[in-house]
Amino acid sequence: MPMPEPGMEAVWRRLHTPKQWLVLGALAFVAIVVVPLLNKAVPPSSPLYLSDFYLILIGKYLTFAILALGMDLLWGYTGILSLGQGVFFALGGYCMGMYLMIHIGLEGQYKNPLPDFMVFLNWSKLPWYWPPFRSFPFAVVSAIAIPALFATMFGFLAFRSRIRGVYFSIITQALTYALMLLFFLNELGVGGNNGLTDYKTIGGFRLNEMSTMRGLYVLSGLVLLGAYVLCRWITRSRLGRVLEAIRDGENRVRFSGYSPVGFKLFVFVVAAAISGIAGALYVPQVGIINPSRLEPAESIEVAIWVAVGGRGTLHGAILGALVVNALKSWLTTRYPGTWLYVLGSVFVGVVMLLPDGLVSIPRRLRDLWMRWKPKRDQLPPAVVLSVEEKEQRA
Amino acid sequence: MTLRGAAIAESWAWVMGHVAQYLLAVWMLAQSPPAAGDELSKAVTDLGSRDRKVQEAAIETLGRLRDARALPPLTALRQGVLYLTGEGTLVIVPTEKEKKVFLKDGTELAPLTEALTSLPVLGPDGKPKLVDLSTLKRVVATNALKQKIAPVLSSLSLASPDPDARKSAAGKMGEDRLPESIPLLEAAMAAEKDRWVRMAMDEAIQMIRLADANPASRKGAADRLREIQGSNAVPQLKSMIAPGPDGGIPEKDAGVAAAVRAAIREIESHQNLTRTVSTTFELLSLSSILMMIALGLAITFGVMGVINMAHGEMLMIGAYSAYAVQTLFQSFLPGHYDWYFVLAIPVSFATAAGTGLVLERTLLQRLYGRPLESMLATWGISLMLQQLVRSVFGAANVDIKSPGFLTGGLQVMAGLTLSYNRIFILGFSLLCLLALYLILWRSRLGLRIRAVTQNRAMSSCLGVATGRIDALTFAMGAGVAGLAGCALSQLGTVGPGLGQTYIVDAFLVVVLGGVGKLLGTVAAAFGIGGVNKILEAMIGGALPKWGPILSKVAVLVLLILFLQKKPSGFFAIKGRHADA
Repeated sequence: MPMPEPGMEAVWRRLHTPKQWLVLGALAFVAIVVVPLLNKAVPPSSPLYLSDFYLILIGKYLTFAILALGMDLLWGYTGILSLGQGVFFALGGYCMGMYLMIHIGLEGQYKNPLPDFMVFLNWSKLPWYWPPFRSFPFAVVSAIAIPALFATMFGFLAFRSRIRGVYFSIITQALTYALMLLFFLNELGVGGNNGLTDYKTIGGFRLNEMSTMRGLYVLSGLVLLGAYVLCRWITRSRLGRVLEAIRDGENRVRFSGYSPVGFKLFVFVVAAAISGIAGALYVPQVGIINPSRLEPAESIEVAIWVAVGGRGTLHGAILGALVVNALKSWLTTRYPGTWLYVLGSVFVGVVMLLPDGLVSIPRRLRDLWMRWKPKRDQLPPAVVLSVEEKEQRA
Repeated sequence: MTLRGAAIAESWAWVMGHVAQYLLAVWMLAQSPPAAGDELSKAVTDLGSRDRKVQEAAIETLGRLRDARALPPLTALRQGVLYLTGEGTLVIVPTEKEKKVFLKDGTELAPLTEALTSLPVLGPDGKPKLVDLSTLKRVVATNALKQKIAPVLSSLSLASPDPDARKSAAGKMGEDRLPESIPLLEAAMAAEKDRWVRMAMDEAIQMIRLADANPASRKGAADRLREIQGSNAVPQLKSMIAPGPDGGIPEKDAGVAAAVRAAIREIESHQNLTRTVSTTFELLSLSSILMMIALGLAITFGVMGVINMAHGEMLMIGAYSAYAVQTLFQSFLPGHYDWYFVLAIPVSFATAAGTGLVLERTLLQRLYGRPLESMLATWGISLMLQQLVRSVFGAANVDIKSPGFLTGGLQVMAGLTLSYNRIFILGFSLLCLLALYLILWRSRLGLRIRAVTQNRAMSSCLGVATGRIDALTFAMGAGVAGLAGCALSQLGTVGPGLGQTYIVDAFLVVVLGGVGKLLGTVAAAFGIGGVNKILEAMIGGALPKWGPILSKVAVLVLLILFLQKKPSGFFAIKGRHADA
């Protein structure tokens, strides 16, 4: 194996220390190799066996984690709280959904080459924007490019006129809301209320076979890893420093001679592209994309994943997405009435009590320990009793 | 302060006037003399006869007597819900299923009304008695008899004390186009005092005359319809000149056809006018609600820099408070039902303001200077409040019935009625605006609020208790939202998602209006509400389904483009802030 160039090595080192790389590699190995093997190679009778249902569920969480990475890049590192990340996720999802929909072919309810909902609407042919999505590469590229383009246009207008802070959040929320209404329309040609669903194959593989689902799972894991490395690379570069500076004092950045517009736009577009890929991976695994993904509540939830894990840390964003969604799945099946209370209190609790998220817990414990330890050291040694001594005294 | 006092006194006088009118009407109904004739009671009793001849005679007598008390038994007879009890009393069984009780063995129990007196049949305990329907005997009316009843019913309705009933009776006679109705209508018209009812009767007469054999009479009818803008006649007029399969039109007389065309043209242009006016009115009342919601939001945003994502839920709390007060009145003071709304207004304000106060003291106070986190925290609160309301009041929408003085509407021209509800909401929101203006610009509290909005640190240095101002402002904003919710409850159903319907628009109003100026919020509310509605009408004309949605998208695009020119909204506070 050829040695990496010294320049390359410096880059790797800048991202992580060798020890950290080792941990990352181990985690990635568990997530991408071991978990699917627990489903495939372990017999169902074994306690280690991972059922099909849970593998698909975790696959879905992985796509959410990718979405959370984009959100963290935006909010955690640049201080832009976008409440419209669901838009890009859904756009990516719809691109993939259209590809999958066309490839249902004659297997639909109506045995018609047109998607079922079009037959239902009495349409005689595909609208002009559908046929290109017959091609898989086109669908994948547009799942990235369409969100990115949309983000470029919107971001340019927003950042140029210095819409920021709460204003930006509100406008992105309104954007989500408006698009949700738009996608509810049957006339838009993407399935209206019901969305796109009932897919049969992806790239020739049957979606009802577990091997395809495992493949999608592994792909999601790999994309998550890639997105993580990309985000890490951005945040550890000089560019990342500027982003953090914008977060901490945008005017100072401006006064120092940097124009924040370009940087903010860049990070907004990257986050949108990442969210688009996440959406494209989400749709074949979950089997449906509909306008409910565009509900403002869904987009705000992404912010809370990041906040729970710990914003400003990429591993925190991933952790938060996994934890909150696992909690959601568990509570909504076990105690359906309580989920909104729990989610509401998570919003309040994290903001009030744990502003740096779950990843800050070890540090907080260490701080507590440090605060407590000197006191203990100051005490005269005679007072510190061993367990045996205590027992003797008692 | 005197100005506000006068305005409140005036609105009170208005409300009280309506209440008094209503009470008077109820009293008069109750006092109607019982001895208006044994003839009447005999005729009503005769309705229950087995002899069809006797029944016919009774109907004729009732038609001659013109007494509104004959309406319930006649209507019941036609609907087949007139029954005879074992003692031979005529009673009416309600048509509504909800009022009846169905037992498992198939027995149907129902409360009864005496046909002659329209009083409920009471049991020994003084409460309406539930009677097994199988013990009663139904009075049978043949189809021929029912046809005899119809004209008597409409002519009786023409004498009804309720103007709306008179109006709809006239309208129905116009639809039926029976030439023998004309003298009845003319007689009723001569006695009619209400101008709009008179016009409806006139319209009915002309609609009947349109089918007259005499061309001069038809032309006269068309001309008259043109004068009184009889919009109900348009379908009939159109059918007169609609080309048939042979290319000819049903109307043979050229002069009449010309008059009909002129009438259609003029009535349709009048309809366009009324449509424009009513759309404008609807737009104004919707925008005024939006304004009330956004005002509270804008004030708190100005003072604290915090967007309260739970503001929509304050609206919901206000609406549900109104519902709770209504329910209490229904069960404890059913006699004074209309008064519930008078109490609901302060209660809505107080509950919403109280919730806001608690929210500020426990939560937002600790998040000072972290606007984005405050936003997320208040979102969490909004989720919990929605779920709370769902578990207390149920997930389904609840119905709120407007008090009597807010039902119905004010007719301003032919074919245009402005509902009292919406007039009330418009007036109420303007009152709230006035009150807020007086508080913010004419009181010491307002002075402090404005000072903190402009420069918090400096105000604090000068001795303004900024924490208290924050709490009061927040409570006030929430309270105004509660009032808006109370007003909104009059427009329809109330559900746990009520807050979410309006909140996105209200946020946009705040963005567009800028911070710290009431005028900006008012302008933005009416601007967004207006543009939304106008675009909806314009796009809806070409693409009906896209109207409401594309207009929302267009408003957002326009807003973003507008912010390119004026990044801090309509009216920004002038100053040298870099981090404004």
